[in-house]
Amino acid sequence: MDSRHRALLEKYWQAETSIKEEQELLAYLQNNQNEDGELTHYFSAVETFRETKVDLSDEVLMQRLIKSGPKSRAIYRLIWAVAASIILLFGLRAIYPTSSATPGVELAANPETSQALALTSQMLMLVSTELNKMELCTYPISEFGETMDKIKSENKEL
Amino acid sequence: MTEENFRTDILPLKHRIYAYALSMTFDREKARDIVQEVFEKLWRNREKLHTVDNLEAWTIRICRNHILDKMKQKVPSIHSIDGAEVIQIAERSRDRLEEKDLIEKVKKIIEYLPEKQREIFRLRELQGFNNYEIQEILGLSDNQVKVNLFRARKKIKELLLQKINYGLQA
Repeated sequence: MDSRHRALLEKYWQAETSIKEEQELLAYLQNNQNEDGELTHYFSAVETFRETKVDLSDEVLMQRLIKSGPKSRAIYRLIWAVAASIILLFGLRAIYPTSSATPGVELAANPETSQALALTSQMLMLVSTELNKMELCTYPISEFGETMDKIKSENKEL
Repeated sequence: MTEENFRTDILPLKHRIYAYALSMTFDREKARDIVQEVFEKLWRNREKLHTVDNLEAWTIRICRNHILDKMKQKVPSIHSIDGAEVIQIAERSRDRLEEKDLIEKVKKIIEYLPEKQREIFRLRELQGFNNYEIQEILGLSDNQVKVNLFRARKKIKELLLQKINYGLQA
């Protein structure tokens, strides 16, 4: 190895070489492969690795990209549209909490509420009937009391 | 960025992305899948690419982040193979032995280095990036890049000397 390239090599190990100097060193070692076996192997392995090529043609790659691209963008747009709609709905709900329907109408519209109302009406009707029966039952007692009061007042007069 | 610009400016970077992915995974199929996945990301964001100063350094950074994310998730990359790809796989099997030997050589060197020095080695020696570009990709200072490059080369020199002294094969 000549003095210039020996100095370059030393500079390389000190990590002080520029990319251009490294290329010069590599070219020298590749042209003089008998100089230092291990060193040449190292540099040629690194250089070969750097030049490794992927066996994927531009057309195959582009076809895949064109297929994937718009689909993904459409999905993203759909997600954004749905998210924006939900936010808008919540926003409107916050601004106008009870916009049109009154509580009574809302309750009446509920089938469970109607069922409960019907059941309650039946119960009240039953209570009412029973109360009427009780009133009829208490009528003789009140008549008896009135008669007793009448007898007592007649006895006082005598 | 138009499709035409993408073809002329971005597609030629596929070999560099592949070499970088290969130096991280040591697996040709995985590296090939990574190239496609990184290009899908680039394609989806092609409208923003005109704002990037150094496209090569930027794509390598995207590739690095993508691989690190995959390593964290440990998700196997699966993709369907069409007819054209089956023919390509058959063709590339001829060169497989030579490449396997090369990958093994580089793997031995990389495994010999600590993590930060590995990163510098990949970018400087296997990709040919200068120190400034490495700073951009890895987010390191100028001094950190220089120190780690020096230490990496020192270790490689030791490795080569060991091989010369003990007659080990690379």
